[in-house]
Amino acid sequence: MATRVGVDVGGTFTDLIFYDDETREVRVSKELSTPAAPDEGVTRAVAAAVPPELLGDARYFLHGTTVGLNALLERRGAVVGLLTTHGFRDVLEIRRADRDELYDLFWHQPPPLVPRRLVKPIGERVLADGSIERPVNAEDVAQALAAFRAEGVESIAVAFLNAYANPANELAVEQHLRRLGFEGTISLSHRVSGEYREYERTSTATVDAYVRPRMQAYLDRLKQRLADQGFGGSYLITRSGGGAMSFEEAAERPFETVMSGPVAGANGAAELARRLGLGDVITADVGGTSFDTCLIAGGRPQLMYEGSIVGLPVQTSWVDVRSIGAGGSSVAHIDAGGLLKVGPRSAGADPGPACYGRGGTEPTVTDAAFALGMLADGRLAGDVRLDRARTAAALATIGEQLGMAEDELARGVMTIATASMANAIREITVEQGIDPRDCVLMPFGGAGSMFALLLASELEIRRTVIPPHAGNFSAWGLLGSDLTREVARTRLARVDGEVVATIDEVLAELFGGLAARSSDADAGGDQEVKLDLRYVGQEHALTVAVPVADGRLAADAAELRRRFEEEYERAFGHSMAEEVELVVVRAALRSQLPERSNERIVAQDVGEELSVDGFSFRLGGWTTFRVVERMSLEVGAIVRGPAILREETTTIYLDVDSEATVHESGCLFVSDQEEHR
Amino acid sequence: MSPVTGASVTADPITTEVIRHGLNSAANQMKRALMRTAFSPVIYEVLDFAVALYDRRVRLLAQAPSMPIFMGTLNFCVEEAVAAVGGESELEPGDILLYNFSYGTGSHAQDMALVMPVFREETLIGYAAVKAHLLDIGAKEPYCTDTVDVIQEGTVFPGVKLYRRGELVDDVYRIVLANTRLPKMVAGDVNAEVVAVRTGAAALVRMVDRYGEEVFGDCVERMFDHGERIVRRYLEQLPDGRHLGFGVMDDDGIVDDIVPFEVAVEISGSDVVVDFRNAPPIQQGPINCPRPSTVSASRVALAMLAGGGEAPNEGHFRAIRVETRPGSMFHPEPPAPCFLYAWPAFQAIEAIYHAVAQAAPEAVPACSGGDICALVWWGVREDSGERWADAGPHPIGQGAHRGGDGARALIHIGQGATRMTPIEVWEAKDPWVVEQAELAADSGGAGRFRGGLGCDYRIRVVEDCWVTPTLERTKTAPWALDGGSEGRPNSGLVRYPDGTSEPLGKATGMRVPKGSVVEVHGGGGGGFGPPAERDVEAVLADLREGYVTEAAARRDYPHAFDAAEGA
Repeated sequence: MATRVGVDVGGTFTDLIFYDDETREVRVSKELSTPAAPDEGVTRAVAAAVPPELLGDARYFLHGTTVGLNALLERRGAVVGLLTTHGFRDVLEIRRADRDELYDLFWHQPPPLVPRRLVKPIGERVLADGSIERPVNAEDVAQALAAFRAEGVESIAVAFLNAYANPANELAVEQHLRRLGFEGTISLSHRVSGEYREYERTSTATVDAYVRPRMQAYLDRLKQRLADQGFGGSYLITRSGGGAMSFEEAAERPFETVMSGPVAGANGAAELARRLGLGDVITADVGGTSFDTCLIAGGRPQLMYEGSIVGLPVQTSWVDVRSIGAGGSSVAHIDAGGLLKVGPRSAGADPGPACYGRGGTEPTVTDAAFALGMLADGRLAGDVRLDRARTAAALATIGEQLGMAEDELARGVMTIATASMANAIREITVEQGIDPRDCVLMPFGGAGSMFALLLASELEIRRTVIPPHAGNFSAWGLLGSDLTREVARTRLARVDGEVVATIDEVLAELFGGLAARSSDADAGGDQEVKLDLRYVGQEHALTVAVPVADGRLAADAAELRRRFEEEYERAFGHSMAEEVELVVVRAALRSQLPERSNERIVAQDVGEELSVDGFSFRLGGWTTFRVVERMSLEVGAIVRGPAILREETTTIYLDVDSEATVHESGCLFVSDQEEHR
Repeated sequence: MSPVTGASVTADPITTEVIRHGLNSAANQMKRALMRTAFSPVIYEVLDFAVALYDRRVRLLAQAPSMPIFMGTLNFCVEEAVAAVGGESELEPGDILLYNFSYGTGSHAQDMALVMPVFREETLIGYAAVKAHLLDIGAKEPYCTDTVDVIQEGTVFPGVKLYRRGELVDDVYRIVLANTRLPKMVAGDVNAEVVAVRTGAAALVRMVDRYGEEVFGDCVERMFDHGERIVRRYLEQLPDGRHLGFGVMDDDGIVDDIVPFEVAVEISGSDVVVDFRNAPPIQQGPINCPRPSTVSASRVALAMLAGGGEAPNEGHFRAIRVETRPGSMFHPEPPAPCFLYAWPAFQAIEAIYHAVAQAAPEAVPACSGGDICALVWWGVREDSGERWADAGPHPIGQGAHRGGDGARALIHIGQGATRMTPIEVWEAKDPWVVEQAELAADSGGAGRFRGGLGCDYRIRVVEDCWVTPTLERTKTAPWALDGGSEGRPNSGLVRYPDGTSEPLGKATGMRVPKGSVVEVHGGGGGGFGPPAERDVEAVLADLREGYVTEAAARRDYPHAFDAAEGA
C-alpha cells in the first residue's frame, strides 16, 4: 500500500494530488493559498478532494511549501543574534564585496539578516589545519548573551572561522549558552554545512536560525490539523536539493527546505525520466511570472552545492533550476531604445493578463497567445472566460507605436519569450557539455504546454514529453519523492594512495551522523557518495559520483582519478596531466517510497468537438485548429496537429506536422511528424 | 544625430531582440566556459578578464559582464592581432591568435588575448575574443610597480598563431610556457581561454546559420542603433558645456611625487567628448595608460551612467568620442612602461564623474575610496618547496549620492565584478592567518547622505613572503558632493616582527618575513549634502549599529544630539 497525498503550497494556489494505490485513481484539488496561515489552505485542499476514510488509508503526506522562503522574502523570521570570530564581526556586511548589479553605479547591498548590533565577536580562533590557536573566551559569550537577552533574541547562530576543520569551539559555545540558560534555538555553522567559505557558511547558519522557530511552529500545527482530519502516516517535506525529509528533520534543518518551490517539478520530471527511460531531460516550467528550467541527467536533477535566495547564499545541495522572468503574465513593452521587450516585469496574478478582465491593461504573453488562437476560445478551468476585446486593446497600445498588426506583434511576443527561454536552456546544457538536441523536452506549469513546440523547434529538440497533470505538476512530482538525507565536509587532500583511507574516515563520521538523524520509518536507505575533485591549483571542482559499499569507498585512487577525468572531459572537452585533489566528501542516504503505478485513464465523452482559427508558426499563417478535450482521449490515442488540447489546468498547442500520443503513463509523447518519415 | 542605416530600417524589431538576446547569451557561455576551466583564482574569482564577440568589421556584438575596465577594449586587440599576421586574408578556419602587446591590448603583458576568427564554412563572419590575466608571463618580477620600459614587463606575443587550422602550434605553446614562473597555471589558463573562444565561435556560427547572413547583419545594425539611442537619450538630459574633472596619482612608481591630471567632459546635445589632451606627459614609471584603456575607462564611466543597466554593444559607444594627445600619460607610445595602466584608468573613471558632477551633481555619486587596493603575493612554501602566488583587491566604501548613503565594502567599480576570496580558502592554501576583516567605523564622509564604509584587513604571515602592494589614492581623500565631507583615504602598513613598520603604497617585491602583519585600510566614500541636513533617525541608527562612533557623530551631526538631549 502506497496511497499518498501531495500538497504544494505556492504563492497563489495550494495544489493537491491524491493517488490511491489500490484503485490507481487520482484526485486533484486547487485552493487559494492562505499566506497568513498556510496550513489552513492545506486543510481545505485536503477536505475538498480526499474523504476522511481515504485519508485514513494514506501512508504518506508529501509537502512542498514556501513558508521558509516567505519568512526570508518578507523578513518575518526570528530575531537572530550572531556570534563570530573576533576580528570578523562584519562577515555578513562585507559579503564577498561584489555587486549583484554590475552596471549599476548606485547599487547597495540589502540589509543583512542580522543587524550589526546583534553580531558579537567572540575571542577564539581555529586555524585552517583544525588546530586551536585560541580557545573560546567564556566571558565574551556571557556578555554577548546578556546583550542578546536585552534585545529579545530568540535564536542564536554561531559561525566561527575554520569551524569546518574543527568544530570544537562552536560546540564549546553551545555548551556555554545552554549553561547560561539560553533556551532558544542554536544554529552552529558546522552543523548546517561542513564546507569552507566563511561568508556562505555563516549566511547559511543565520538563515537556519532565522527560519527555524517559524518553521517548527508551522510543521507542528500542520501535523496536528492533518491528524485531526484522520491522517495517520508519515509526514514528508521536499528538500531544496531534491528528495524529501521527515517533518522532524525539517524542523531541525529548515534551511534545507527553503528553495523547495521549483524542485518538486524537477523531481517529478526525474521520476518520469527514470521510469520511462527518457535519457537526458530538460524541464520547461512556465508559470505566471517565471520560467524555470532544469537539466535531468542520468535520471537525477543536476545539483549545485550552493544557492542563493534574495541575495543570501545558502550552502546546501540545491537542484540547479535556472529562473528567468518570462511567464504567462510577463508584460510586453517598448524600451527606451525602441525595441520590443518581454518581461521581466509581470502583471502577476493580480491584475494578471489583460484578457482576465481584472483591470490589467498591459499586453502579456497570455494575451499574445490568446490573440493567436493558442488558447482556443478562451474558456479555462473554473469557468474563467478570457476577454478577446481586452486582449486586442492591450496589444494595440504597443502595436500602434511599432506599426505592427496585432498578429504580427503577438507572434513577436511569443518569439521573444521563446528565445529567452531557449537561451537559458542553452546555458544550462552547454555548461554541462550536453547538446540540447539530444535531450527530451518536458514542459509543465500552467503555460509550459503552450510553449512546448515553439521551444522544441527553436532548440531543434525532436522529442517532447508532456507529463500528466502538467498544470499541477509540482504536486504530482511530490508524490514520487524519495527520502533523502545528505551531508558534506570539506577535506583537502591529494588523490594518491592514502586518499582512500582519508575518505573512509570522513565517510564513517558522515554516515554515522546521518544515521543519528533518522526518525520513524526512514532509517537506513541506499548509500551514495560523491566527491568534489579538481586538478591541483584549480579552485572550481567537479562533483563526481563514486561507488560505495557498506559505508566505505569501493574504488581505489586510480579509479577516482579515472572517473574525474571522464567527467572533466565530458564537461570541458579535454583533460590534463595534473595531480588531482579532493575538496569535499558528500554522503547521502536515499530510500525510495514504494513505487506508484500508472494512473488509471478512463476516456470520457465530452460531446461535440470545437474548432478555432489559430496561427501556425510552422506555416507562418492562420489555419483551422481542432480543439480536443484531453479527458476524451484513451491510452494510445493519437492527436495530429493543428490542434489545441485542452486540460483542466493547461492548454497544449500542437502545430501543423506534429502529433501527440497518449502514453499509458498519462504522458503525451509529442513528435514532429516530419521526423518520423 | 542618429545615423540609421538602410539595413537597420529593414530589420524587424522582433528578430533584432531575439538576436540581441542570443548574442549576450553566447558571450555568457564564453564567460562560463572560461571560469569553469580556468586554473587561477585571478580568473574565476577576481574575474580579471573580458570575453566578447565581434562582427567582421570588428564592431562589438556582445560582451559578458566581467571586468568593467575591460569594457570595449578587445576591438583594439582583434585589429592589431589580425594585422600582425598579415590581415584577414591570412586567417583560416580553426586559427587562434595570441596577442598581448600592451599598446594593442591597452593592458600589461599579463593580460593575454586570444582571438579566434569565426568562419562559416570558408567565410569569415566575425571574431570571438578573450583577454584574461595570466599569473606570470615573464616580467622582471611577478608583479611590477617600478618598470621603466615595456620590455621589462613581460614576454611579448605580438599576434602569432597558437592554433593553425585547429592544430596547436607546439613551438609557440612551448615558448609561452618557457616564459613564465608558473607554467602549470599558465597552461591551464591558456587552455581555458581556448575553450572560451571556441565556445563563442560555435555559438556565433549557430546564430548566423539560424537566421542567415543577411537577416543577421540587418538585425545587428538595428541592435547597434538601439544601444546608441539609449545612451543618447541619457546624454541629452545632461546640461551642455565643457566640464573639468581632476584626478591625482600618488606617484609614478619611481619618483615619490603626486601626478595630478585633468579630464574635460564636453557635452553637446547627445554627443560627449572625453578630452584627455591636457594630460601630463609620459611618466617615467609604469602608470602610463595606453590609449585602448583610456578609451575603455571613458566607455565604462559613461556606459554605467547612460547604458540603462544593459550589457553594452558597439552602439552604446557611438555617442562617446575620446580625445587624447600622443606622448601623454593617457596616450603613451612604446617603449613607455605601462604595467600599472589600470590605476590611472581607475582614477580616470572617478575624474570623469568629477567632471560630470560639475554639470549635474545629482547624476553621479561622490568619490569612492577610489582604488582596488591590491596586494600581489608570492613565495616558496617551507614544507613542499613549491612556489605559490596569489593576488587580490580589497574593498572600499562607495560615494553617497542624491538618493542615499554610499554602499559599504565593495571592490572599486572598475573591477566591480570581482569577488573577494573567502578567508578560509586563503588560509587553506596560503601561509597566512587573517586577524581582521571588518568595516572601519567613521571611514565614510559625513553628509545628508553618508559615504559608504571602507574595510580594515590585517594579515599575519606565518612563512616568509613577498608582496607587491599597489595602493593608489593614499595621499588624496575621496571628494564629496554638494557640501558633504570627504571620506577616509586608503592606506596600508607592514608591521615587522622587530616592532618597526613601513607604509604601503606602490612597491615591487617587499620582503615580508614570517611573523609580520600586513594591514590594508580601504578608504571610505565621500558624503553628499551638508551633514547638518542628515535625518536624526539615520544618525542614531548609524550610532546604534556602530557605523559611526559617538565622538564622530557628535562632531559631525550635533543637531541629532540637540534634538535628543534637548527634549
